Amino acid sequence: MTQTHILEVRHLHVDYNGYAVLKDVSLSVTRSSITVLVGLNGAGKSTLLKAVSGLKAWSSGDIVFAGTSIAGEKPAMLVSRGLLQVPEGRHLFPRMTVLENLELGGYLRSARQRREDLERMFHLFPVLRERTDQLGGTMSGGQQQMLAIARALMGSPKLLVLDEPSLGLAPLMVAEMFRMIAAIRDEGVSVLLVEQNVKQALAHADYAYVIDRGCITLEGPGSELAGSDEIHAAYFGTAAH
Amino acid sequence: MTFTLFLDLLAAGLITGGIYAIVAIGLNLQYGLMRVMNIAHGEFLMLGAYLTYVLHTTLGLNPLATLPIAMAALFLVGLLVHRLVLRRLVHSSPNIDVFEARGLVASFGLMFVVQNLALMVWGADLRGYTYLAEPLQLGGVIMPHNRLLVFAVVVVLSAGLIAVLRFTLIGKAIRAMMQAPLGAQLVGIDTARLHPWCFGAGLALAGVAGALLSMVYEISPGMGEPYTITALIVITLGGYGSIVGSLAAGLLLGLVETFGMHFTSPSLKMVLSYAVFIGVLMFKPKGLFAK
Repeated sequence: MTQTHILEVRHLHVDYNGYAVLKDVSLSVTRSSITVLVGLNGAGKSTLLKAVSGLKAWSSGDIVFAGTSIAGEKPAMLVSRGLLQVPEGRHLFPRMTVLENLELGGYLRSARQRREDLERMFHLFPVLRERTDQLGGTMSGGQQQMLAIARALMGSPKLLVLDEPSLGLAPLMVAEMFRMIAAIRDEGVSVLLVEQNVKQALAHADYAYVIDRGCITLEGPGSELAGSDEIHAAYFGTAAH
Repeated sequence: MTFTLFLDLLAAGLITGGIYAIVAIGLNLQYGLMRVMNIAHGEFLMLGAYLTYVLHTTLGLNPLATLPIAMAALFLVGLLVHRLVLRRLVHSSPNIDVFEARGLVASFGLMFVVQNLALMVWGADLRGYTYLAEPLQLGGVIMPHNRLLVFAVVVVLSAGLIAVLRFTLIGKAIRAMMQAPLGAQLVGIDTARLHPWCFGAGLALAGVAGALLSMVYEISPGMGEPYTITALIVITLGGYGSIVGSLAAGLLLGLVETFGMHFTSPSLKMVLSYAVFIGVLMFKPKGLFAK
């Protein structure tokens, strides 16, 4: 593995009750880049993310993070190594304040690091500073998504994995979200983004993969895929141009 | 009703309710956190009561001094039970629902085992000792010292527990695990490592509640069962996973029972509890304080 890649998924096979969900999936995430994975519902995106986060074992192949295999590692261990995920549905702590949610994001960091990171987060997401005492579960969808991303950033990720961050957000909020993700990348964090919002996702992707029925069917720079006929046929029902 | 009688009932209700709260918080740590509906919870309360009884009557230890011993002993019992029973179930259950069902059945078995072990060792007789039973007069209310002591301990314990859960990182992590188990894992909280500790803490609370009860009431191997039921009612009332809710609901149930029994009949105690329980299930199934 070359050190230009923070994450490398190699020939991954995953089964659920004997049914193959991922079949020989290989992809890699370049350091300080946004890599996008798109695919229809049931294509295997969530399964792949579960495997990457240590929540699902695989039957063959390997996942290598920062030069070392993550086989058999529990989520908490991966977090300490700098692999953080914002899951679909966010899984915030709804009856805890914004501040508490953020503090727990830095659960494995020292108190001093937590204080410093907290300041950084408030700088990056000013809306959170205004709402430190609000309960996570009472915020709007967009604010919750910001909080979920900020909570993950509190863990000082090398790789941030985002599962459908635009789901259920208003269009204006979606645009803001993608700007935010680009800003995070520009700070040196690698991003693996799974999205159904194909158009926006590809527009922001440095590199992208298309997954279909458990296989990677297409890959290339985001701008290239955005113009491809296959993508247009699959997602917009028409050919490009 | 005279004002003195009102104060009398209020004090009695808060003391009973305080015990309910401690027992229920213990059960909530098990059910709210890891979905272990520990039907044997009351049996561990009984063990705490006998431990204090034995340490006091054979070694002459001050019952108050046995409280930390009862807590520590039951905490260790909790680690052991988790290791021998629950850990296996976690590994052998395909999902959390199956785990919950199996945990329920396993804890049923545990209830019979622990209760019958106590019967073998101590027999079925009621046992008790006298401790600080002299009455104390406070503004017209006459109350034995031991009850006030029980209430003071309950207040200190609950306040301490809430402070830990609210202000320390580990306490916040425990609340986080209750509110969003997956979210907790994804911020790096090692839930598998914390679960046995929380189960132990739940039993420690049952143990200390039992130890406190032994100062006030007579004890027997079957004393724990009603407390399991009451704890179940309290955590439903207060909300699964809400510690402050359990505290408030425990106090409330204690008051409802005490005042209710005064105005109806002491034999209706369980009827009153169940009426509250059924009422909550019908009208506020997510708990009194759910938003």
